[in-house]
Amino acid sequence: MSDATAFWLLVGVMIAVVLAWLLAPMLRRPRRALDRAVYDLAIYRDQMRELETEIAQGRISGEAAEKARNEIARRILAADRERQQAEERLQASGRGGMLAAILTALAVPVAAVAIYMQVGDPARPDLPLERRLADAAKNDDLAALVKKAEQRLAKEPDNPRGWMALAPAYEQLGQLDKAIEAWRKAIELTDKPSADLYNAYAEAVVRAANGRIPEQAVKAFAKAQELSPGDPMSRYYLAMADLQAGKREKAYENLKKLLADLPPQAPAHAAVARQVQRLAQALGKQAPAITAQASGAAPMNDAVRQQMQAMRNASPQERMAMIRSMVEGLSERLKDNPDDLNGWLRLIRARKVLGEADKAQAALARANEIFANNEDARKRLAALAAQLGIASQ
Amino acid sequence: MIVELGHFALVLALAVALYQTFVPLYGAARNDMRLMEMAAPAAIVQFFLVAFSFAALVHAYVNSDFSVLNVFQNSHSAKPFLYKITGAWANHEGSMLLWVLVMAAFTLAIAVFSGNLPASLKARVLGVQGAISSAFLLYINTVSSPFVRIPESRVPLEGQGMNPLLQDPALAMHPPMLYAGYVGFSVAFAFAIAALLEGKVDSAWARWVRPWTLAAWTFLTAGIALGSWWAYYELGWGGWWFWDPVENASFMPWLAGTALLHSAIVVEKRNALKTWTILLALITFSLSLVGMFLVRSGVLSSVHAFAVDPERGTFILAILAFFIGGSLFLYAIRAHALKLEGSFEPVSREGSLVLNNVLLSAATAAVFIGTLFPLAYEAVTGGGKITVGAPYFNLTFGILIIPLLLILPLGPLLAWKRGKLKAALSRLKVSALVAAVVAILASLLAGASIKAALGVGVGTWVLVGALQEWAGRVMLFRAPLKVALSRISSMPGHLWAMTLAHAGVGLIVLGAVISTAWKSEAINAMQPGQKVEIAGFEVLYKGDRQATGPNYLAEQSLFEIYRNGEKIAEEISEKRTFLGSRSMPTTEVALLHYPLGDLYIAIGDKTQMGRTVRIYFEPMIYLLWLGALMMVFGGFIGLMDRRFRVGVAERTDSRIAAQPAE
Repeated sequence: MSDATAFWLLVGVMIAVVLAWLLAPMLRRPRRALDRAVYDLAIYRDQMRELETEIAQGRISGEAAEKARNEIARRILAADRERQQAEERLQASGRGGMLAAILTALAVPVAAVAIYMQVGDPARPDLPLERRLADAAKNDDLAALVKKAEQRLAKEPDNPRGWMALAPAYEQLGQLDKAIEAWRKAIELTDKPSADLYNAYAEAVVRAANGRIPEQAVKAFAKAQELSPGDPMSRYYLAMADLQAGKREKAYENLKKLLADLPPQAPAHAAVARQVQRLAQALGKQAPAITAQASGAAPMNDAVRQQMQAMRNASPQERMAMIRSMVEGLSERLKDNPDDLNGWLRLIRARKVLGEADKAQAALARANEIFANNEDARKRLAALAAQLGIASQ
Repeated sequence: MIVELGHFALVLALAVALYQTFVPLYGAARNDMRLMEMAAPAAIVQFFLVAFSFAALVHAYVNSDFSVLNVFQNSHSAKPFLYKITGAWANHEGSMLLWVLVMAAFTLAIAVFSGNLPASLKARVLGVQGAISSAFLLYINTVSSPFVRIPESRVPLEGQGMNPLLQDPALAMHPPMLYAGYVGFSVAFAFAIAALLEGKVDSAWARWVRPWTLAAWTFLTAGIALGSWWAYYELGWGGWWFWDPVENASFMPWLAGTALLHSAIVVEKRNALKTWTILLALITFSLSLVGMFLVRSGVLSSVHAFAVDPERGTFILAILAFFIGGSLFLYAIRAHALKLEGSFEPVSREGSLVLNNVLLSAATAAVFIGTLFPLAYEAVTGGGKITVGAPYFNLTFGILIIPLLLILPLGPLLAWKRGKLKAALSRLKVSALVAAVVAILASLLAGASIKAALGVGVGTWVLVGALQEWAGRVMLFRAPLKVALSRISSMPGHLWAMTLAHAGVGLIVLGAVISTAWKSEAINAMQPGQKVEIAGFEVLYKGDRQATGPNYLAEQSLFEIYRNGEKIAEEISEKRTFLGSRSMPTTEVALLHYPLGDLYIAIGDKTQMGRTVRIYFEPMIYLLWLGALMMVFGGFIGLMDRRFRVGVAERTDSRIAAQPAE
């Protein structure tokens, strides 16, 4: 039985009970008041008789007897009046009034259903928090998954795997501060943290800084190099850090070496090659010949893949689905609330990361349109576009 | 889908309430028995529908169903279980639903327990109750629904949390009690309207009205006392009554209800004061509605705020205008139809009750003017602000209430119809003497000001006077102990109720005067290790620590309390910050009870100078709650009185006790 069927069935039961309750008294003759008056009258008459007997026998005397007699007489009169009224009313119960009452009673559920259809959300199921958490994986409910992971982690806060699972999810939800903290915890609690872990942490820091590479990120990338010499991601970022620090020659040399070491089909190849070319131009040098590009993906893609690996309790398809639903949600929200610059920045980045270059481009164009009069916002959009390798008009 | 079923039940309840209004009233007008008998089943059905709807909302709260907007806005999954339940009414929409539920419960009680009411009176009473319910169900279903859902794709995972001030056991019970009081007066209102329609008020009518009024009054007293107690220990300022408009909103119907309780006695016993009692019944419930309007429409924060978002406020205002205006109009055209009344001398029990009513009504008017004047001023001047504060209320209310307190012990000693003032006064010689001695002692030994000494004297006069009246009634010290004991055990409930309530008033006066006149306070910025001396205690500030509760973080300050150099207690005073988006911190004061009074320690912010610590000594403030408790207890005992069992006539002879009407 579907939710809707069950709902309307229960509504029907409710209406039936209400109608039965309202209409039942109309079906029986309303004799109750009359019956009671007649019964009361009989009792009082008995009492009066008893009293007279007792007075006659001299068991009650004087004032008390008079008082009691008056009282009972008063009640007899009242009961008789009540009986008369009840009879009159019974006669007054005409068919017209009854018909009106029955029609009114029938109008009750009709009106109720009509109003409810306007104001209600018919058959919509409840959504208790616990059930939502239990169904989180089934429904690709990333926010609920995060909440669940947090609850688990609250019980064993020293489990590095828990932190590793949470961190990328935070990144997906755009909660970068929490993500950084989670990566930091994961590193702290792991016996021998891997280069990947340091990279992930440092990259989250870079994202939170909108592409700037702060000191703590540099340190973490250096640590990754130490643990895994030649690791391309940390080499790339360290070179970029040099570039940001104004050491263009050094950055150029290191990127050139990195490009030489990267297999042409590596996803990051193209992005590194572009950087090298740009730098070569700026420095007036001859750029090295670049072999065919394997893909248009930026090094960012590597980072995401790494984050995804850490989400161990979901299958690859599920993971993608989660991220896509997140991104679609973000896109929807921005339609309602287009002034959210950070939202647009996140959306563009996410589109690019998902390999949806067209949509990233479109989002960028739309954002540039919205913030046409906002110098600052357009600068940030341009910076992001440059970082992701999207052409900014 | 319990949420949606609850929502549907609420809509259905509205339709049933309309049915309950029109069919019986039409039936009573046509004198049609069948239609009149439709009222009770409709009232029963309406109650169960509203109760189901309310249960559905509580269910959503308990299960943290954040797809319900109301739950999202007012709950948090980490809240303790109790506050998940009470959270359901700690917000506007939920509290309105609770209001309607209490209303339906009272209506149900009338439908079930008043089998002996004359059919047409019962039909009319239930019809009027149905009309009031309809108005509020319409309000809830149109502009204040607690069942609005959040679109599926946007359901949040966590709620915004409850107003932290309300996360408190006293406040969990405060609204239901208060509402039971407000709404209970609707019964007296409905009886008054029905009587106007019938054109008949007699002592039987008063006997039916009194228990409902007493029940409402008892609940309202308990509700106000709980609210005042809560303000005392939760707000951290050491006061117990602030003449705040929200407090006044509940105090006005209480004053009018107290007057009604007394005037109904005259109607029942002497068949007099009928039209006045009817008017009072209308006014009392009208003041309940005004109180709800003040609290619920947002008009208090600012008339301007009300004008910006007027939907709800205007709706309540329309309800108010309809019931108050309609009932007074009906009174104006029908009151003359009520039969003339019995006569009495000025000096008599009736006379004293009239004086009681005059003074209580005047006091109500004083509070009413003080509460509404700032609103009127703001509306007229277009935003001008003016505050009517404690000095106004203390002066006007004080002037009116002192004569009332002075005649209070006299009233019960006067005979009906024609009393002897001299005899009554001479019976109170002892009370007067005790009061005078206490007042003199207070000013000589405890250094009371004249005002404080007089206050203590008046409180003592009321308290001892009530006890003396009781002692005289049971012939304590005048008859052998055995006789007195047997009289005590056979004293009827309504007399106990009177003695307890009157003695309670005495205690409240004493508590109010003493705790105000002898209060001492010390407000300091303290460093750990510092000591402050107050009222013979030494309070040592030890330092701070952090603690976590189920859904809050607490800053705790530790104190040690010394007397005569000896450590007598260690106490913690807290400031709590709750989870959720409402981050206003609340205080949990350290409260120590001693025979002479309460030591009260509240902490404020930490500055460079140290922690702000407010320490108060509140002498004998417990007399206030004790007095209120006695009044409530008296009310319950009065309700137990078999005379009040609805429809049972007073017996003049044991023989008639066998009558069948029970």
